[in-house]
Order: sequence, then C-alpha cells, then structure tokens
Amino acid sequence: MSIDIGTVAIVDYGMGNLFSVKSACDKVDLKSKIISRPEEIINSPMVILPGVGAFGDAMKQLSETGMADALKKSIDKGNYVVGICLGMQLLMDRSEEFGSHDGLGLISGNVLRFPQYSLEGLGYKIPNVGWRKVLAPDRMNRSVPFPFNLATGIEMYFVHSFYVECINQSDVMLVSNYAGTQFATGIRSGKVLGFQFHPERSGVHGLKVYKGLLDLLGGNSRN
Amino acid sequence: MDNAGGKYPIRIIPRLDIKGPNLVKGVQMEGLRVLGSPYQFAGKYYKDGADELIYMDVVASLYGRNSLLSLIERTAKDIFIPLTVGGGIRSVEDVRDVLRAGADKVSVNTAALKRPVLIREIAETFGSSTLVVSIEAKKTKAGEYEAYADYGREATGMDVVQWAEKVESLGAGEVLITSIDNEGSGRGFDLELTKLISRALKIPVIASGGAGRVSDFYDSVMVGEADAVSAASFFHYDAYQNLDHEGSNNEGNREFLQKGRQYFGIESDSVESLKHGLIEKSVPCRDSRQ
Repeated sequence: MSIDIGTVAIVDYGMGNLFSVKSACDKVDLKSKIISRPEEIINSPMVILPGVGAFGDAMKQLSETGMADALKKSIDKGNYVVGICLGMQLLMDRSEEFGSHDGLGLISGNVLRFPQYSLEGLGYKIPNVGWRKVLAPDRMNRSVPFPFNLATGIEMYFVHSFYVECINQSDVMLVSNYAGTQFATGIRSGKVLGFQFHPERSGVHGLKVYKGLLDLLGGNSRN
Repeated sequence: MDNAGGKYPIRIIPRLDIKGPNLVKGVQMEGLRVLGSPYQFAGKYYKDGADELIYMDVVASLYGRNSLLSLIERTAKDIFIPLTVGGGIRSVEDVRDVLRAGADKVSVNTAALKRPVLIREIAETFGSSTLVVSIEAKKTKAGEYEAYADYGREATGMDVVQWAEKVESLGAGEVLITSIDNEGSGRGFDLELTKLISRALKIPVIASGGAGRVSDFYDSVMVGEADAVSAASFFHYDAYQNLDHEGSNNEGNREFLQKGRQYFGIESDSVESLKHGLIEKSVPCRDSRQ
C-alpha cells in the first residue's frame, strides 16, 4: 500500500536518527511517515534520507533493500530528495571513507576526510562536533535571500568526520569551516537537497529548514 | 594533540541524573534527592541555550527502562538539541532501544570496561558519532588517575590515559571525563585530568565534575583544553528556583529555596548567564538568543 500524496517519507534503512527527524517534521506541521519499503517512497513528494554511521554500510543497506533504485526513480518522477548528514554524503558520486565507495550520484562531487592537521600544522579534533556557523558561499549575490529564511552566520549542530566537495559550485547553497577547510554544508541540484548539519537538532534555526521544506512542497503538503 | 579547535564554540552540556521518573541531584553527594521532573528541567535548559543534554540513568535497572524510554520520547518531541543517554547500556540492543526512543547518542562506561569490544560493536553499528564513552577517574595516592566503574563505586586498576587511548582506538566518537574526587564538590574541574585526556586524544573531550562557578568553566576550556563542559548541580539549583514544579513531591527540598543560589559551595547559574560570562572573557560560545 502506498502512502498519501503530501506525506514526506523518512527512509528507515537501519542507520538513521529517524525519530528526531520525525519530531522536527511534526513540529512544523510537515506530515511525515517513517518507511522501510522502497515502494512506499515512489508516491511521496519528498523523501528525507537521514543517516548516521559508515558510508559503505549505508550504501550497502540502500542497495540491498532496493532503496537506492527507488530514490533514483523518485527523482525521475520529479519528487524531492533531501539528505541529512550521512544522508547528504550518500547523494554524492563517491566517498573515500575506509576505501572508496560509490554513492547515489545524484549530485556531482566527492566525500573526503577532514585533515587532522591544517596546512598551518594546527591540530583539530575529529569528528567535528558542535555548533558551527553556516555561511553563504562567496559567489552568492548578497541581494539574493539566504535559503530557508536563515540569516548568514547562524550556528547549526554538526557531528561528522567527512565532508562534501561539490564539482559544480552552483550546487553549493551554504558553507562552513573546520580544520582549515571550507566545505559545502547545504547543497542543492534541482530537486535534490542536502544538509551536512542536523537541522532537527539545531534548535529554532534548524526548524526553519524543516519549515523551508514544507514551503518547497507548497500546496502539496496541505492537499 | 594540540587543540586548535578551541577557536570554535565550546559546548555547554547540562547533565541530568535520572532515577525512575525523577531528576535527582549529583550521584557523588550523599544519598539521592529528588529535584523534580527531568523533562521540565531539560525544557528550561533548552530555552536557556544549552548546546546538548545528557540523561544519566543512575539506577540503570531493567525495572526503570520503560520510564526512561518514555522520558526520552517525550524529550525528543520538543527539545531540538542533541540528547545523549547513558546508564545501564550493556549491548547493541540497549543502544538501539534508546536511539529508537529519540536519543542522538549513547554513553557507556561500566559495560565497556567489562567488555571493551562493545565500543567497537556500537561504533560499527551506529557510527562513532553516536558513541560517547564515559570515563570516571579518581586520583591515586601516587598521583596517577585510575578508571572506575559503576559511578565511582568500583576501582578497575586501569590507568585512565591508557583506557582513554584504547577507547579512542576502538571507535569512540567522544570521551566524557568525570573527576570522581571533584564531582558535586563545587571546587572546580580537575584541570590536570582534563588536560591529560584532552592532549592524549584526537577526538573531542567533554569535561565533567566539580563546576562551582563561571570561572571553572573558563579554566576547563582555557587550561584543561576541553572541547565541551558538562555540569549538573551547577545548573539544577538555579533551575529549581525558577521552575513551577509539576506534580512532584518537594518534600525535603525546602532548603534549596532557603539557601538561594549558594548550595554546597556551588554558585549556581543558568546556561544563558554562564554563556554571557564566558563570552565576556572571549571564550567562544554559541549565541543562543532565540
């Protein structure tokens, strides 16, 4: 049985912080459902791919459950796909986490490990855990409103050891800095979006991202 | 390692010791006294700008599990900052249960000391970022630090630094280091211990045990090189006086009200006011005004 149009599908593939994502959706009245079968996401206007854990294991899970194919089909149908944390990294072509793994390839780019030492030789704790500033990329025209009604420089909660490097700079909506590295922390290519931070764990500012997802769906979510 | 991460915001993390449905005061102080509803205190800390929260089940019996899980569920529904849950976690299944209920991370101590490979099992199943290994340390007469199990009740004979390094190599994402000697005393964090662990590890270190005043948090970061700082009583006494206690039995707690903010040498304060104090001294904190 497929779920109603207008219900966001939160993918349960055994790796996610599903319940905090669900709570955040509830908080902004974004109707959502945790699903674990690939056929359940096809008719959903938006699929949220959460995720914590290892890239290779996550891709294996997604492939074996048929979820990887369903996500690609979902894009072809014109639905939104939103990756969060590891979920965002899975959207990319490839990761160098413990070997090399292919990702979903929905956005062009790679997943790289933070250096333990910056070019200046300063040591950094990895994983990058804590509240970090989220900024507009340099190329962004200042007159363009910041995505999701966020103000540049607000802090979001991060916990990750790997970061995303996009091939097309036009896909980068938001950036952050750590370990002498500036990295993409909000990405978008068409209807595929990703956030490296945890908007569902980033207080009231984080909830604005979920509100933004509700707005993206416009009337759909209220039909 | 040198910690250049110090220029990024440090995290302020209230720790709530839980017994059944209640928040109780710090475990090292004699006896357990009920302070009120953990959910209410957590809500206040969230509003005041706490960067994360820790729930520690101090009884950790199977009997209390359901009550803990429903507390986690209730918390995760409207408190949108990371929640770490510890106490009585012995297996991957226990971890799954608390994560399912809405926790973001788990903290393990005793079970990991008994069976270190549990750390690897949890890290491999849920990712290192989900795992905070709690280490409780007591200074020996020889001036070394020994790891303890079971909330400081059981000595292990294990050197704290060696244990911390092992924990890191097995896949812990963070270490919560608690000074048993200073816990609940209000005389400040054990800076020597904090620095020892922070320098030995490449993963973030949360300092805990002994917060008595704002300057202790400053020292913990600037001298102890902590990446995050956790405290219990320091926040609870202030919160206690600023909450309408929902349906709790306040018997025996009158003395908090009478003694004001001073209690057992602790100059209690709110998260918000602590952060302002730290920002004034140029310690980077998240601007939590909402």
